[in-house]
Order: sequence, then structure tokens, then C-alpha cells
Amino acid sequence: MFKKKITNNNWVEEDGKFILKLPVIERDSVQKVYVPDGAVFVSKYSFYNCISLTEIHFPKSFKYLDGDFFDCAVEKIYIQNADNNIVDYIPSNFDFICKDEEGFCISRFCNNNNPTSRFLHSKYLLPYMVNYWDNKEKMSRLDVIRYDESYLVSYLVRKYSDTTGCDLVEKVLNNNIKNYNLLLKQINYCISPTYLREFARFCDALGVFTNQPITTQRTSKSGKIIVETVDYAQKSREFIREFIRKGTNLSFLNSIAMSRISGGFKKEFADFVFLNFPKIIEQGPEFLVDCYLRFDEVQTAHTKNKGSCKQLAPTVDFFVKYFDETKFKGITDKNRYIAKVIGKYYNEQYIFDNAVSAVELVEKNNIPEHILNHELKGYVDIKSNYIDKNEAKQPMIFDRIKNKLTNIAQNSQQTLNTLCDISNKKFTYEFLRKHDVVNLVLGKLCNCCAHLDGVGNGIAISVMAHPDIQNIVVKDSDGVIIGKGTLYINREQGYGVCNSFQVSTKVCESSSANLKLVYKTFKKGLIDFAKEYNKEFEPKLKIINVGGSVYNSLLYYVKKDCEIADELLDPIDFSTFSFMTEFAYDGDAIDSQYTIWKADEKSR
Amino acid sequence: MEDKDFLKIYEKIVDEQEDILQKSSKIKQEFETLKKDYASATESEKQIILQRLKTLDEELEDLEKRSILNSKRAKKLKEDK
Repeated sequence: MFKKKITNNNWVEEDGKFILKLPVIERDSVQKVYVPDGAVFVSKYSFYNCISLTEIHFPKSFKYLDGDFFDCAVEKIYIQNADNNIVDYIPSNFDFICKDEEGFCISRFCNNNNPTSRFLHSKYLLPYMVNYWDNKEKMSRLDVIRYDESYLVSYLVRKYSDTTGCDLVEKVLNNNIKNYNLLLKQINYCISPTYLREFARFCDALGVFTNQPITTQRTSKSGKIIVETVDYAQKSREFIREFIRKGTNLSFLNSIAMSRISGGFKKEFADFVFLNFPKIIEQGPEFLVDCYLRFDEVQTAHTKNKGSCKQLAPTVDFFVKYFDETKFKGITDKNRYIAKVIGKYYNEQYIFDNAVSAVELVEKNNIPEHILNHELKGYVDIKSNYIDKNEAKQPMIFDRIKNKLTNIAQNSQQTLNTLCDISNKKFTYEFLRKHDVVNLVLGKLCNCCAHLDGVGNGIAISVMAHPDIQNIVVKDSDGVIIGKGTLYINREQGYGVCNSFQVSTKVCESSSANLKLVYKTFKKGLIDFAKEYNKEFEPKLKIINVGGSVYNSLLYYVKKDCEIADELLDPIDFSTFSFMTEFAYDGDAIDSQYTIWKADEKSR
Repeated sequence: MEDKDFLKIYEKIVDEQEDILQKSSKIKQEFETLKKDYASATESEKQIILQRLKTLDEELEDLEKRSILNSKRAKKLKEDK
């Protein structure tokens, strides 16, 4: 039930939410705002258009603001409690805190007139400082934070703040700083601030700052449930001590500093390091850094070759071989690039030989780089036609409403444009050059069998063997291939069949919004292809179907968006391209197809 | 910004945008009907229509603010990316 009552001044309470109701013209000149006592939930629109606002005073009851401070240049925020929620609304450049008769004032600038003014190392320390403001012993702990440690404190408190609050600050100050300093002792503190930061990051990846042992549960092959508890903080301290005792040159931190790898505890990496402790130390610091920086990349390649390329547990051997570029025989200047790509995924000589043979097919069969006469890349354009431009003029309130509708439409268009820009960077499609060796290992990247040592190797090789087969790939914002589809064009009969869409397990498990966007990107790619093709060739394409087997990672979206094909188009039999003498896969479009694009009657 | 955080915010902005568009489109429809009816309405009917238009105007004001904020959020997200 909607409830509304007027409180003091211009504040109105609506369904428990407080909002400052002021005409826009008066908002410009407001400098201070006092939120009334008893207000718990304050609307973000209270501060809308208050461009001169410098001070906001929240009462003790205040807990939530439903957004950020908006359109105002607030310099001081007065609070009387420091609920964890409040921290979220404090802008991160508020570096000072002081206390007066009204409560705590958090500000951008140091208040020299107030002797209690202190440096706020991190806004995430706010609940701790407010709660223990008068406790000299606890506050003195903050005083001993060195400049180089403040980064660490902020980092840790921020990282773990939502779960443990003030207790965590105690833990960080008592244990983690101690742990960290103990580790720093091992390296005699003699490292630069940059190295300190990277050292903290590296330690964190190993779990030095985990607060308690972590228990995990897994099911063994025999179905037995195995419970394991690991104290990562303890293990990582032991490892780093040993690592440094071996006389490791700390310049390895420089490589970490140069990288842009995101921080945080990496459980898989830590497990790998601790399980292979002596072997890794034996390999040396450069190997460890390579493992740290390229862990995800190597593990992407470290999958079973059979079936859907299930992820395998990391091993030192695989990492060593992954980094070894000279493991194959017969590497020449001409085929070195093949070894470089293939070597990431396979160690077997026969696979390298097969890759070389596949690439030779390009020359032998005079295969062009693309089915089209040019390369094709693109992205999903989510712009919509939301603007209504043709509104006649209306008097008074009609006019006002019309203007507002136009404004909303324009703002929406801006938002959609921006979202479009963002999403452009998120996923892009590309028709992969048919000569590119990556065609041979796409299955490894997209967790499917279409790679040199999978049952679908015929699909991989077909691109280099047949002029009218090409892979469309979808890349993420980092340019990493996360999805593939193999398109076959029947030029004589004017149709195309895309074998299926295969998407990497990581993306499949991420979010439905991601998967939906990947599907849209594929669809856009195929539609663009059809349009371009029809500009260049006769007879024109009339239809493109996509395989509807259960192996299609995007089957859910295909079914939702496309009509099932009444008549199956004749797909190509991929098994004819296979190097395998035994079973070879014929494709995903044999038994079921969906129509993803159809030319309209006029354009045929 | 971590990918999952980015996506969360992205989805929130998309949801908010869809909500704004849905609501404004509903208001627009009603507005068109009221505009037509107004021309042939009696005085007291006109008063009721004007009253309703005032309510729609208020709702639109809120939607307008939300659309500005959402646009800013989208821009901020783009910058942070």
C-alpha cells in the first residue's frame, strides 16, 4: 500500500523512502542538506540537480541511499554511525575524517580547524574507525600502518569487507600485516614500493591473506566424497620462505609488475604450486612467474582431446611442455608458426605432422583466404528505434509531456548507444582466415571435438581443404576466441549450413546474458555474411540453417529465436576430410536444422 | 573492474533501460488517447483528463530523471571498462 506523509521542511516520506522535494529552480542554490531524524532510506533524487551542494548531514537512523550522490559536488558528509552499507556511498576520494558534536565528518580535504582530523587510509576502514574512535589502543594500530602497508590494508579490507566487517580489520592488522611483514623480512624489506605491491599481489594469489583454512569437497572416480581442508596462509608462507631461501632473485616481481593480471587469491594456481612445490622450485623463478601470469591461458589448452575437451588438472610437465617451443621434430622456418600454435595444445609429433599436412592442403587445393572476396568482422548493434521524432506541437501540459517523452527517448537513445559501444567491445564476430592454423585447434578453445586430435578433426581440416567452408568465431573483449561455427556454402543451390555453435565452457557457465549476446553476435555475423555474399555472387543465397543437435552450445537460443527447418538442407559430410582411419564425426546438422536467416522474396 | 561486476552493472543498466522504455511507452499510449479525447470532452471531463495528465507528467518526470541517471551510469561504465 502506498503511504505518503510530509516531514519537516521539504522532505516527503513515500513508502518508507525519504525524498527532498524541491523545485528544480530552488535546487541550484542549496548548499547544505539536513536529512530528517528517523530517515533510514533516502532517495538518490533528493540531491538531484543540487549543483551547489557541499554538505550533507545524515541522521543516526540513516542506513541506505538507493544510488550514488548525483550531480552535486559534495565535500563533506556527516554521519552518526558507520553501517557497512554507508561505506558504499562515500566517494573514494574522501580521504579525511574528523569528529565534532554533530558526529563524524568525512571530507575530501583535511579540516585543519579540527584537531581530531585523521587520514582515512581507505573508506573501507570507516566502520572500524567510527566504532573504535575513542579506543586509543585500537586506533593506535592504524597509526603504525606504514605508507607502503596502507595499500595492503585498503586492498585487504576492501576485498573482504562485505563478509567480516570490523573483525576483519583486526585480523588484517593483527595477522596479515604480521604475515606480510614476516615475509618481507625474508627479503630484508629491500624492495621498491612497486615491488612491494606486486609482492603483496603475488602473495595474495597464493593465499597468504586467507583468513582461515579452506575446506573443499569433491567426489572421487569411485563415487567417494573426499573432504580436504587446506591452510593456504600457512602453506604459502612456507612456500615463499623456501622459494626465497633458494636465493631467488626478486627481479621476478618486475615481470609481475609489468603484467596487467588482476589480483586476488587464485585457488587453482595455489593448489598447483603447493602440490608441485619441489618441482616448481627446481624449475626456477621465471617458470613460476610464467605459470602465475599465464596460468589461465595454459589451462585453457590443457584439456582432454576426446569428447568435449574436459579440463584437466594442471601439471608441471604440461606447463614445461607448453612453454617449450622446440618439442617437435622437423620444424623449419616455413612451418615454425604452425609449431607455435599447435605446440600450445599438443605434444605429440603425429599431430604436428597432421597440422603441417592440413596447411599444405591450402596450397594443393588452391584454397582462398575467405569465401567472400574480403574479410568480414563485426559486432551486435543493439541500437533500437526508440526515438519518435514526428510529434506535432501541443499547448501547455500536452507540450510538457511531449517534451518529456522526447527527452526520455533521447536519453534512452544515448544509453543504448553507450551500451552498444560497451557491448561492441564485449563480443565481436570474425570470419577466421581459412589459412590460419588456429582453425585446426578451435575445438580446444571452444570445448568441442573440432580439433586435430578430436573426433571432429574433419571439421577442423575441412576449412583448409574445401574452398566453401569457413569458420565464424566470436571473440571476447580481450580478443580471445570463445565460440565457433563452421559454415558451409553450397554456391550452386544458394544455401548455407552452419554446422553448430560451440562456445567455451567458461562462457557457458558465466551468465545467460553473456550467452545470449554470443548467440546474437553469431547471428549478426551470419546475416552480414549473407548480405555481403549476395552483393558479390550469383546465384544469391536464399537461406542459412544451423545444426540443431544437442551438441550445439546455443541450442536454447537457436530454438527460441529460429524456426525449425521443415526440409533439411544437404550439409557437407565432414568425416570425408578426416585424417582418422576409424570413427570420424560427420557433423551436427545431419538430423536437425533451424533457419537462422532467410532472404525476403524481393531480394531473391 | 572484475568481469562479473561489470556484467552485473551492465545487466542492471539494461534492465533499468527496458523498464524506462516500457513505462514511457505505456504513458505515451495513454497520452495519445487522452489527447484525442480532450478535443471532444466536456468541461468536467476535461478537468479529469487534465488531472490525469498531471499524474502522468509527474511519472514522466521521474522517468526522465531515471533516464538521465541511467545514461550517466552507462557512460561511467564505459569509462571504467
